[in-house]
Amino acid sequence: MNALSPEEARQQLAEASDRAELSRSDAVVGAGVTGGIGILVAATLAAATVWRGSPVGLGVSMGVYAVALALLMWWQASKFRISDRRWRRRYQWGFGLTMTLYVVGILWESFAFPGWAIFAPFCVAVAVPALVSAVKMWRG
Amino acid sequence: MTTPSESHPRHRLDDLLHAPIRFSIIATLGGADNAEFSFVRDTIEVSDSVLSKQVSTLEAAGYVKVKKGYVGKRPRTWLSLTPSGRAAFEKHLEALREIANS
Repeated sequence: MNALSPEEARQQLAEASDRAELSRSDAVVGAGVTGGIGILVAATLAAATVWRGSPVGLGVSMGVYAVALALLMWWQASKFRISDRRWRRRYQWGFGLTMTLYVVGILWESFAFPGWAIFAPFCVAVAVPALVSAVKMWRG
Repeated sequence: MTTPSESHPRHRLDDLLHAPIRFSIIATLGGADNAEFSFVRDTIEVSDSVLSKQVSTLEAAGYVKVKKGYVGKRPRTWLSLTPSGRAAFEKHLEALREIANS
């Protein structure tokens, strides 16, 4: 039989609530990875446009992207001690929107490149959803 | 002779989660997708062996999932709540709220 007074029940509920306050350093790691991926994807779109028609250039830029992404993932795996459940949805939203803009950008520059005056700000905009998610993760 | 109905919320407390250390483990994992073994150990302030023993009990009950891997050469152990573990925790918290408000 589980005998528990209302006061003891309140103490346990308070503990459950306290445990939900997660590590600050993990928030920094989560935000860093999410924001970093956004910047990488935006940079990859710009590089793909710059090196359009150059297989070597495209290959080098994809290689740099892959190495940078691997380093980010390694950093996350080595530093992360706990991943907050709220972050998963924020990361999915930010990453999903960023990748959608990336695909739009690839199609746009392939079929009707508008010039760098318009496309450069668009490349920056590609990173914005992931950066917004990163800020929300950092703030907690 | 009729048996009294078990309507008091204390009957809905999970016996497995009623133990203080196991409750602390589940509470720590409740807000997370994954937590590293050392993080849980440091948060609830127990030794490796005590945490390992309690985690084994929770894993056997199907409440906690244990995943082992490496980052470089360093072994890492990750803990997470299973869907049944999360459901049991929510049900336990609900019973606690009813007792707290009684």
